[in-house]
Amino acid sequence: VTTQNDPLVRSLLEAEVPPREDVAPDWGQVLRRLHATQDSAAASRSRVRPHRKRRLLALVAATAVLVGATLAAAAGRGWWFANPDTDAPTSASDVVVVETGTWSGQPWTLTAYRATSGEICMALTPGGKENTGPGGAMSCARIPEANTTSPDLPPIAVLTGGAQGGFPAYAVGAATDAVRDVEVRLSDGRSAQAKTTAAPANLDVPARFFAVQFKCGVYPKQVIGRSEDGTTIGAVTMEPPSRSVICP
Amino acid sequence: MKKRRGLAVAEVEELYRHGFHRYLRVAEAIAGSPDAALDAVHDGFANALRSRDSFRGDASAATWVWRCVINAAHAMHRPRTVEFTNGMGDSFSPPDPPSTTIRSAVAALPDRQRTALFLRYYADLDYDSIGQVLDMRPGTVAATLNKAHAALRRKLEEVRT
Repeated sequence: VTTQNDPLVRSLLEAEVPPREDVAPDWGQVLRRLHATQDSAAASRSRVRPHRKRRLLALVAATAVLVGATLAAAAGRGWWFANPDTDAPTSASDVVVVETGTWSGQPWTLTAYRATSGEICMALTPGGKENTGPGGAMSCARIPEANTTSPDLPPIAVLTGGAQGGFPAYAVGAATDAVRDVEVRLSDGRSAQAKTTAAPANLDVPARFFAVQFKCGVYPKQVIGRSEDGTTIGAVTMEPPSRSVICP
Repeated sequence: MKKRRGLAVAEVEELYRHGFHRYLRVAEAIAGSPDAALDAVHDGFANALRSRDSFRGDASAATWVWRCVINAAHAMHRPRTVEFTNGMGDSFSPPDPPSTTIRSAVAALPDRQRTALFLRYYADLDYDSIGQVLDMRPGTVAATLNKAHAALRRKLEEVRT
C-alpha cells in the first residue's frame, strides 16, 4: 500500500500544532523521571503493599468495565460525558440532575446515572448541559447498599476536579444512604463540610451525594461520612495529587 | 528468525534524540498543550526505559517507543482536570471548547482516526509504521486515513456553504 499525502489536510493541520524547534531534547529529564518513579515504587512497596494491591484490583475492575463501553446516547444526550470519546460506562438509567449550585459566581450541576455494571456514575459540570468546557469531571464507583467495613468497597467514593478556567477546585462524591454529613479534611489543616443530598427517585440507587469546593493549591486528605446523629459511618483517605496544580 | 529480548538504554536514547521534535508534536496534538506534551514525551521515554527488559522484538524499537509516548500523551490529556480519585474507577474530563473549525473537526474524529492522522502528518510516518504503532494492517491505515480526510473535507464544505 503506497503512503498517500493529502496536501489540504497537511496544510490544515500544520497550523494547529506548529513544530517546536525551540525546545531542545533533555535526556536528563527522562532519567530523572525514571529514577523518581523507581524510588517511589520501592517506597510504596515497602510501606503500603496491602493498600496498593487493593488499588490495583480496583483499577483492573474499572478497566474491565470501561473496555468498549459507551454511554447510551439516548439516556445522556447533550451532556459532555455522553461523547463516545470519553468511554464512559454504559447507562442503565437516565442521567438525572442531583444538585445544582454556584461556586465563585459560576453555576454548576451535579448529575448521576446508574451504569449497567452496577456502578453509580457521577459528573460535575460547570454550568449546565450546554457546557463542554474545562473544569468538569466524572467517574463511576460501586457504593454498597448497606454500611460496610470492607476496605474494597468503602461507603464513600470521592472524585476531585476543577481548579481550571476560573472554576474552583472541588470534591464530589457518593455515599451510602446512612451518610448525612461529610467532612473533607484538607492538606492545609482546614476542613470543608457538606450535607449529603438524596438520590432522585428515578435514579433508583440507595445512595446520597455531596459536593464541596476548596481553594486551589490544597487537596483533600480524608473524607469522613457521618450519620444524622454524628456517628462516623466511614472514612476514605486520599493520596496527594500526582501532579501539582497551577493556580491562577 | 529468533526474536530479540530487551532494549539497550543507548538505543532508546538515540530514538529520543533523533525523533524528539516529532514525538513532541504528536504528543501536543494528543495531550492538548505544549507543557503536557513535554511531560508526555519524557514520561513516555521513562516508561520505555522502565519496561525495556520486557521488549520482545515483536515490533521495532521505534514502534515500541511511539506506543509509550502516545499512551503517556493520552494519560496527560485525560486526567487534566482530575488530580486523583478515591474509591472510583477511571475519571473523565470534558474536551476543551474547540476554537477553530478544523480543531473541532479533528476533535470529532474517532480516536484511532485522529491518532493515525497525527502520526501521518506530524510524525511523517508511512502506512507501515503507523500500522505497527496502532496494530493495524497498512490497508486498514489507508482506509482509516481516507475516512479522516473525508470527514475533514466534509466539515470544510459545510463551513463554506
